[in-house]
Amino acid sequence: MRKWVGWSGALAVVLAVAGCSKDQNPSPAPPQQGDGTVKSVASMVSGGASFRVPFDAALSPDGKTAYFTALVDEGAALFKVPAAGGTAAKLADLVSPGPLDVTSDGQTVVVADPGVESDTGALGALVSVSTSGGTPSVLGGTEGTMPRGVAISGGRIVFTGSDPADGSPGVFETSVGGGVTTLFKTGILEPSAVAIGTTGEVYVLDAESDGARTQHVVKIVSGAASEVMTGLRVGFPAGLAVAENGANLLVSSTDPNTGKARLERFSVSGMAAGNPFTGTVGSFDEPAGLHRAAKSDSYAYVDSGASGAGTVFVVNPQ
Amino acid sequence: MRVRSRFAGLLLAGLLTPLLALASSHREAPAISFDPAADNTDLWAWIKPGTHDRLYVVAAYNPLEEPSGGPNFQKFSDDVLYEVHVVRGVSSLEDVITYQIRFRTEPLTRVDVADLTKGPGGGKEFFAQLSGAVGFQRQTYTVTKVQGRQSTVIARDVPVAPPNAGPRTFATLKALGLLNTNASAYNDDFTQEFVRPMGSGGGEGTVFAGPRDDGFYVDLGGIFDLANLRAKGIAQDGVAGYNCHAIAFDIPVTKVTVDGHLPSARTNDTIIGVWASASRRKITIQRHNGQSDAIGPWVQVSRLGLPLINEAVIGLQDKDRFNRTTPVTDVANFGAYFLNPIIVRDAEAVGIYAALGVDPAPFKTNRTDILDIISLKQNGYTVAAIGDVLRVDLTVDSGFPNGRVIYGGTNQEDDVTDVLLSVLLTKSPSGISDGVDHNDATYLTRSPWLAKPWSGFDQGHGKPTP
Repeated sequence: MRKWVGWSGALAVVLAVAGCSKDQNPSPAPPQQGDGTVKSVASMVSGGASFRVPFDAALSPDGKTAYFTALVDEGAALFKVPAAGGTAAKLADLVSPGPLDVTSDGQTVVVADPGVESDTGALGALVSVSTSGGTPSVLGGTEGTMPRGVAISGGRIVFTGSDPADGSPGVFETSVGGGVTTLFKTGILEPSAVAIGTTGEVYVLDAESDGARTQHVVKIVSGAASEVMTGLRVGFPAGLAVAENGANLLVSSTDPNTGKARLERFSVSGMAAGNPFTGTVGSFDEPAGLHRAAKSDSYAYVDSGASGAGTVFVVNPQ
Repeated sequence: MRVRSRFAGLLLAGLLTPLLALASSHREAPAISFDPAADNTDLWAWIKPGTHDRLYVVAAYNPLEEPSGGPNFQKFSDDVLYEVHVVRGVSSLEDVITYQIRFRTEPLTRVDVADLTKGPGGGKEFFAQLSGAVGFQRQTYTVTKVQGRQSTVIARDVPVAPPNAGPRTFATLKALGLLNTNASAYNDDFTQEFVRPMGSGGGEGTVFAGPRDDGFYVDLGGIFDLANLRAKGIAQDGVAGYNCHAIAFDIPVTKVTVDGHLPSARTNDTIIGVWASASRRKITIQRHNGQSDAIGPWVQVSRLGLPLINEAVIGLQDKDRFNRTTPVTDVANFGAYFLNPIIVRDAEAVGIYAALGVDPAPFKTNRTDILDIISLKQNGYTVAAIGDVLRVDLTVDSGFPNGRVIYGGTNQEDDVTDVLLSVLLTKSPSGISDGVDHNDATYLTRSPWLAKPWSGFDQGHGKPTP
């Protein structure tokens, strides 16, 4: 691993979150679904004394444990919680972590942390943390990539961020062994969430290319990109997951008319085709990360403001 | 109406208005008061009288700029997305056209401080005026017109007018070749050098961005000393002598009509709505090296359509939320504030109505009249989509609340304070007069309409000391 400093959280990096002014919903009921596509959405844990403003969450391959990033009094940290609900346990202090995912063997959490700084001036990196806790380690070669989204499938770790050489945004791939290759850069302006399809295709949510107020998703296959959905209104981190059958995408977004959070389902073959699920997720309005468990048809979903200090949910489709 | 007639008296006008005349949207909400570069202060929009063939829009930001506030004079933020939104028709508040303005500041060139052979320029300077290749560290901007899903850059790398630091700065920079201008001073001729065409051959109109006189006028000191009222002639214009940063558009009306032609008669499509906003990236990371990184989707942090809505209508508990939302959801989110204006109860709470023997009950609730006025019902429109947008009828001369007009060559703009407060407090569009009735500078007769910025050298708020 390259020399890296500042993991204790002592770095005075400030994570400022815009858009958290909101209604203080007094312990809202678990989100209800509108059409039966999603069987249930249940709270795993809500923010409070131990953490606040969760950003992203991912499930262990068997779907029984969730890992999530959130703010703490002295910075930010990685937590885990039983998917059935319970008390969150802190695994590691981080700097300004956002998206994360779990390796297929369930042993490691990989976190995109754009806030870390090296003594060489490199900004941001992917870091790995054992699912049993411990000191974070930088994934070699990812220093300076300002990562903003990460997804894992098999041995592949695909992430969005910036090319350290020129600062240009793009989509990149690495592995737990290190080394980075560029998957795609042309036309990507503000890459955010990323997901890996069942045939290896990569879906990327670009927070800029669809205009300032809406976002779109592109599908990347063999270095070529095609737009598959437009007009989304997402938060940060954006939530994007491939449904287990590979035919659909789930996106955490906001309803443009009400401003409230919702989960949307789209066909991977084109925008809005077969979109049976348009229900809101309770009365929340800070949708964030969304990831599917590797070997279980369930999802971890975050609303950064639900219940006041944010809530991590488990989503169970039919 | 019995009660209404009692409000026509000058006594009530003198008492009520100074109490409640507020700054249009200067520091109106808690969160945005910490972010002046993104703070919408005023919005004007009107059409050219008589011909109705030009749409003028002035969006102002950065409240209460002290002219002498160097060495880092106020500027637009490179990290903010500034937008002017145009909606059209009576049934939708969705943008039909959005003008997006993004700024970029020329990076400072690092200079070896120990190298005494280096002349003026670069990042080593104390005086910001000497730091850039063209005087002040140069800031430029790009205007992108978004229509449907089509984004078109209609002005690129346009220079922002510099601050008016003072006559020595202007003369020195010009002498050193750091200010490329034909003007003899920071005057209106100089201003016109920063009014630039948009689109091929100026077909999209013109744009200006830079510091200007803050064109609003109001007794801030009296009002915010818990309504420490002062009569006309004693009341002070609290905005006098301060600057703002303005973006001014002069747009062919044909660019905003549904068919690209000047309307010959009123239809449901000949009414537009204009509002302005500012957005920042969701996440900002402060770096040890002095830089910062802003990532994620844009989050709107400020907006303004009609003057005084967030300031005087929306309660403190919802002001920040109002700035984060769009007009589309105003009725759903904030309808109760329009129907039950809290400002009436505040006036009652401080004893105004009681002192005059007027029952405020008729003004407290069921105020659909407010919605009728801001949606131009009196102009013959039946507007179904109601939200905080400044409505402009493209077929008749503008006059608030049908647009908001700057009357060039005078020191008068539409006295929106009078109109809105009269409406809110008395259900009448007139009858209440502001103790401050004119601007402290004369408006221009052409873009950017607002007067030149006050000079930092001799027009700031400093005072001689013994």
